[in-house]
This record gives sequence, structure tokens and C-alpha cells, in this order.
Amino acid sequence: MKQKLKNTNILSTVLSIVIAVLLGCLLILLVSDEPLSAIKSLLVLPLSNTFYMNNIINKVTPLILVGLSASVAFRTGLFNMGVQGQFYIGAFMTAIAGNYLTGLPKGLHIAVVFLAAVCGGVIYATVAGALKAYFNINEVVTTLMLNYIATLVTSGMTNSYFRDPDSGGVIRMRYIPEYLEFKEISSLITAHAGILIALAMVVLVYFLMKHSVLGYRMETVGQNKVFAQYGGLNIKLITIFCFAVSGGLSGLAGSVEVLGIHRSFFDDFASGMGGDGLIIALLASNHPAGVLLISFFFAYLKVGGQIMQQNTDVSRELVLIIQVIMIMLISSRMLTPYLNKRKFAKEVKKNG
Amino acid sequence: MDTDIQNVIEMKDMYKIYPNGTVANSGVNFCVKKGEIHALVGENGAGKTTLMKVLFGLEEKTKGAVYISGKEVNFKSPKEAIANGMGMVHQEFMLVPSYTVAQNIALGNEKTKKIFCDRKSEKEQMEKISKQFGLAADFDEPVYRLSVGAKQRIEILKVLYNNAKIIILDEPTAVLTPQETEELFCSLRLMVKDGYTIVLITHKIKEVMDISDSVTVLRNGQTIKTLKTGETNPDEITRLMIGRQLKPKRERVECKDGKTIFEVSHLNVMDRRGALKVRDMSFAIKAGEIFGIAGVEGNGQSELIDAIIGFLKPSSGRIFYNGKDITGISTSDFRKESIGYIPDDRNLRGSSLTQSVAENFIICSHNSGKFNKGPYLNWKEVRKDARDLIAEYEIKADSETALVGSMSGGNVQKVIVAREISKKPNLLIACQPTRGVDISSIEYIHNKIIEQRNEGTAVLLISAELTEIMGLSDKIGMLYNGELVAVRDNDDSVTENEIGKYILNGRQNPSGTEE
Repeated sequence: MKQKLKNTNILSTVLSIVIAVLLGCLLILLVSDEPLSAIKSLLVLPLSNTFYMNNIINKVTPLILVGLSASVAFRTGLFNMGVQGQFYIGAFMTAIAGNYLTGLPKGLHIAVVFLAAVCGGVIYATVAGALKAYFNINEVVTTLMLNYIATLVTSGMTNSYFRDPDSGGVIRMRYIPEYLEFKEISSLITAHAGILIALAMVVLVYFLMKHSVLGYRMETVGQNKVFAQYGGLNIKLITIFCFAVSGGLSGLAGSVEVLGIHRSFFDDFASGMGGDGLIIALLASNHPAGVLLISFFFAYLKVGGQIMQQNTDVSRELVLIIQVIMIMLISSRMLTPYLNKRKFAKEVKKNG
Repeated sequence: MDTDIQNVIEMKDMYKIYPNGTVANSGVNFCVKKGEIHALVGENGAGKTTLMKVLFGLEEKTKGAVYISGKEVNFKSPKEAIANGMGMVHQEFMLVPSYTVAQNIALGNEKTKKIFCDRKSEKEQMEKISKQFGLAADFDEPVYRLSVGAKQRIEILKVLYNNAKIIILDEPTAVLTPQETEELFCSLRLMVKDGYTIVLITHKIKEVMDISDSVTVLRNGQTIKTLKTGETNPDEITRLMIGRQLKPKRERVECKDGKTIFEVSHLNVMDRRGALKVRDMSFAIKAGEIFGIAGVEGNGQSELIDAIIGFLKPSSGRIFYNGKDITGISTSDFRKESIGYIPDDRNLRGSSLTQSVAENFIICSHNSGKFNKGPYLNWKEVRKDARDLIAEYEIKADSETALVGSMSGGNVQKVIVAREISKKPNLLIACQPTRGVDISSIEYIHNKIIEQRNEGTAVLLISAELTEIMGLSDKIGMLYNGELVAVRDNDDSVTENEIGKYILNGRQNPSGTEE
């Protein structure tokens, strides 16, 4: 039965994606003077040369990490809306540690930079986790509020104490030393090495969720908290642990973006990242492999959108429309099990 | 045709298939004669309630014909049914708590004098009905202050006030004590004498024998047989209901002088709002002994259990397990002991409906080393173990990965029982272990509990079902208002009536009547 459910899930997700893309194409037909070229740019060109393909890989890297971050929390029945904030903290810490701990040996410095970013994300998320665990303060509210704090504090700091005097009109920190930057993977795959970290995390999170004691506990808490509590699970610890893992992944995503792409912290440089993470987790039904696929699809559309904007009269915001249609289709599908569950609960009540 | 005993209700070849594909009725025939008490029996899910809902216009039939007093009808809503002289008392009461009894009874059918409500003539009529059928009620009392039994009387009064001649009662005694049940039956007999027709939905065979004139047995959505009650016996009805003979109850082995496994001494527990719910409670359970606590729900049972399992901190008193003081233990530590606990709320506390059977089995054992190597959880092992348990405990599940929520109540309860008993507990705490489950599962669970006792487990049984308490316990504690008002050895001298009096009145007035 569970297997069946999974299959229909995958089927309806694929179907939703196809429908959304078709509707997107329809929209292009309506608004564009050169619809065929636009559609080709959006859907075919991203795979036409290695430059675009590497571009996709670079785009997919942070998406995978923030998607995993959100899905870990969702799976435990918690809403980490603070992916964005944790991402900025991770990126900020990377830039700080990269710029200001330069006295260290190079190898150690790389390790410290990562550690700083991950710890930043972990600690920042744990604040919300602890408030939830010990005072039952709604994590949606706290994480959203913490997003503002993270965005504004990093922005303020970058604008004042840590601003690169040579940055001209751009609000950013100094560029980090070159040896910290991610290298290109090979002469053919010119994408940065961050993708390897992201893929490793997919495997790790998969193991955590599907094959570990902790994963079982997290899922049980997510499915029925009272049952978990009655079974002797420590809900407080699991809640905090879940936020820590989620925050750590978001922090890592921020770090990878700085080390691989931007080489510095720019003020509010990736404002849609948190939202993308949440949506990817939602569309992937919180499954790590699903996160990988959906992230790839998102990255593909992003690159396709860019090409379309360069080559034709359609702006890349069209990609947003496709994404939104997809979300609507998939979340309406998600209502079905919810409705079934309610119906079931009613039945139980009726028949005792 | 004999006009005197014509069929007031006749349902022919009824089918009801729900939109989700559940077949509730498939070819039910159901006839009720005028002026009789007709029992409609069957296990949970046999289709009794659905059939009555179709009759009352709450559900639309898929196929079939319904005749009321010989006239074909097709009620689209309860309103039409009521207009045709039908009335239904549901399992859950449908009263407005803040209204008075009189307002509740008149609701929807107010008498008017010009534009005003004529409360006086309403009340006169109510009092007349109340006196005629022995349904006592205080008409000016707000409903929220009434006991469950009184609320049910109000529901019946309401039906009578609406001029119903055919009255359907859905499991009316599920919430009543033996005394209240007897009172209800007296009223029903009076009503029948007066020409009313009553359909009684129940799964308690004793009641069928006590009060009904005829009985229709449903099984799997079909009519098995309609019988005259006088011409049948409880065994036959049971056999028809479950389709086979009940297994004999497992023999009890006498356990001599087991050592004390569990002890509660002078325990006081307050609920979260600070009201004292368990008062100075003391009892001890030996190995191989079942200690049953009888009591109407809400008399401190849940607070006692919560204190034992570590959900609530007792305000004073001690709890000992195997001589060890476990007062105020955390739930995590409590669940690590070899204590089995079957909670009363099976869908929330007892199981996780959206997870698989296998996942439900390992809630306490997933970290015991049996299924895990450090942080790695071996699902292969978990599933193998789950398959074994499913077979051993005769659980009906598609597979070990089937969601618990897709299973029937009896099977969910079996999953819980299997999990807790497979722990090989020294102490088993069972709260309402058979509430709302079908007869076969009740039989199975009871036998499992006795089997545990025979193997030397101490059992704490908490139940509102007196037959269960009396059928299983070695000792019975009677709980009233958080106090154990009496503790008796369960021998032949203990009667249901005596227990009923204690749990209704406490020790002050064991011979008095309610209120």
C-alpha cells in the first residue's frame, strides 16, 4: 500500500511538472513574437553546450543543500522557514573566517571556514529549535523573524565594519584569499567543486532519514508527536537536533555559494534562496533523491530562463510562473491524502 | 395480511457503497413489526449504523427500497424522516450544552403563540411525556451540568416530543452504568406498551436477550438472519455475528504467593489545572495477578496512569516497580523497563496511523540493539520481526509495510497488544484494552491478557466495562472520584450491581440511588 502510494506520488509529480511546462509554453505562444525560438531557448538550449550545462550544475548546488535543509525539518513535522537566514549567516561566517583568519595554515584555514559556516547555521537555527522545544513557541514565527534579523544584521555589518573599501558602489566584503576558492572539477566540467559536497550531503541525509535510528525518531515525531512521546522519545532533543541539522545544511549552502561563486559576501545576494529550498522540499515530498531531481529541474529552468531573456523578447520571470503553476498543482495533489486522513478520522469516530 | 402486526419498517435488498469504495451494506433485508423492540446486532463494521443512517435520511442509499408502514419512502434528509414519525438517538449526543433541558428538547420544534415562544405549553407537554415513560429530567437545568445518563434521557425526550413513533437508538448503553441501563430499559418497555416501535443497535448480546422481541444479525454488510429472541440463545447470536463459535476462555492457573511486582502507596495526583484527581490511592499487584480498577471514566483513571508512566508528577505518594522507587520517572526511562502499557487512546497514544505496522512495532525497541548497530537501523531485521509478530498475533494486515491507519480498530489494538506483550513484560498496564473493538478481537485480547497473567506477569487492568473487569480480574478495586472506595477479591460473591453502586456513589452511600 505504501509502495502504491509512493508510485502515484511520483507519477503525479511528474505529471504536474509536465502540465506546468506545457502551460508555460502556451503562455509564451500568447505573449511572444518569436515563440518557437523562446521555447527552444527555455527547454532545449540549456543542454546545447558545456557552458550552459556547467552553469546548471553551479545553480543546482545551493538548491540541493537548501532543499535538503527544509526537507529534514518537514519530515520531523517542523517548519524551518528560516532557511534564508541560516543561509546568510553561513555565507557571512564564511566570508568573515575567510578574510580575517588568514594567519592559519592553508589546510586548516579551509576546515575552519567550513566549520564556522556550518556552526553559524546550526546555532542560528537552534535558537528557534530551543524556543520551540522548551517554550513551545511556534517555529514558523521565530524562524521568519530570525530571517529579518539575519538579512539586516549581515547587511548592516557588510555596509559598515566589514565593507571592502575598494568595493566601489557595491556593498560587499573583501574577496577571500584565492586558495579558499573552489576549483573547477576538470577542464571539461568547469563547474566548481561544491556540487560534490552537495551530492555527498544527499547521500548522508538519505542515510540519516531512511536508515538511522535518529531518522526513525524524527519521522515518528513528525507523524504523531503524542505517540512518540508515549513511546519514550525525547521530543525536545529531537526538535533541537532537527533544527541543528537543518540549519547546518543551510549554512553549508551559504558557504558553498561564497566559496564557489561570489568569493565574498554581498549584501542580500540571494534573496530567493530560502523560498526555493522550501518549495523544492515540498515538491520532492521530502525525499533526498527527489530533492536532487527537483533542484536540477529548477536550475535547468533558471538557466533556460536566462538564455530565453538574452535571445528573445520573453523575460525570465516566466520561469517563476511555471514554478508557481507547479506548486499549485502539486500542493492540490497533496490535499488528497490530507482529505483522506480526515475522512478516515471521521470514520474511526463513527464506528468506534 | 394481518393489519395488527404489520411491518412498520421494511428495507429490501439495501446496498450502500461509499464514494471511497467501502461497501457498507450489500443486500440487507430488514423488517420491524409495529410495537416491538427490534435489536440490530453485528460486529463493528457490519453495517448497522450505515443502515440506520440510510433509513433516517442521513445517507443516501445506493440501491434498494424502504417502506414505512407499507408506503415506499426515500428520505433525503433527517427532516423528512422526522416528519414521517421517525426519531434517532445518536451515539454522540447532539445537545447545546449552554441551553437548558427544556430549550434543548424544544429546539427546532418550538411551540408559538403569535410570534413568541410558548415555553409554558412546551413544558407541559414535556412533563407529560417525562412522567408517562419514567424519563426524569430537570427542565431548567443547563445541559452541561448533566450526567451522561441524563443527557441520553434528554435525547429520548426530544425524540418523543417531536412525535416520533419509530425510535432508533444507536448503541445507547455504551456510556451507561448497569443501573442506568436498567432504567433506560424500563422506559423503553413502557414506550413499547404505548405503541412505539424501537430499533436498538447494539453489540452487547446480554442486552439483546434482556429486552428485545426480535433480533436481526448483520455480518459484512449482509443480513445473516432475523430471529425471535425467545427462540434463540446468546451462543447462537454470537455464532451468527462472528460466523463461528467463540473459543473457550483460557484456563487460569493459580499462582501461589507471587512476589509483589508493582505497588502504589498513598498516591495523590493533580491534573494540569491543579485539581486533585487521584486521592490517597494505595494498592499492590503480585506476579500472576490481575488487578482490575472499575470506574466510570473521568474518575481519575487517566491521571493515575499519567502519573505512573511519567506524564504527570504526583504531588505526593510513591510508586514502586520490582521494589524500585519509580515515582516521577521520565517517560523515556519508564519505557525502558520491561513494562507493557496499552493506552486507552489507541489512535493517538497507542499507534501512529500514518506509519507502517513495522514502524509502530519498534517505537520502544528500535534502539535496544536488536534492530540497530549504533546509529544504523536494520530495516530488514525490523520487517522480519514485524512479519513474525503479525503472524503470531493473528493481525490482519496486507503486509508489514501497510499503514496502521488503513486497518480496522480491532487490528490496530492487536498491533499495540502485540508490541507491548512481545516485550515480555513483568508488569502489564492495560487501559480500556478492548474499547470499541470487535468481538473476535476482544476474545483474543482477553485471552492474551490471561495468558500473560498465567506466565507470572502482574497486570493492572483499567476498564469502564464491568463485564471485562469481572471476567479478567483476580482483585477488583472500585474507583470513585479518585479514590479506591473498596477492594475485593473477585469471587462469586461480587456482583455487577455491587460494583455499580460503589463506582456510582462511593463508599458513603453504597445502597442509595443516583443523585
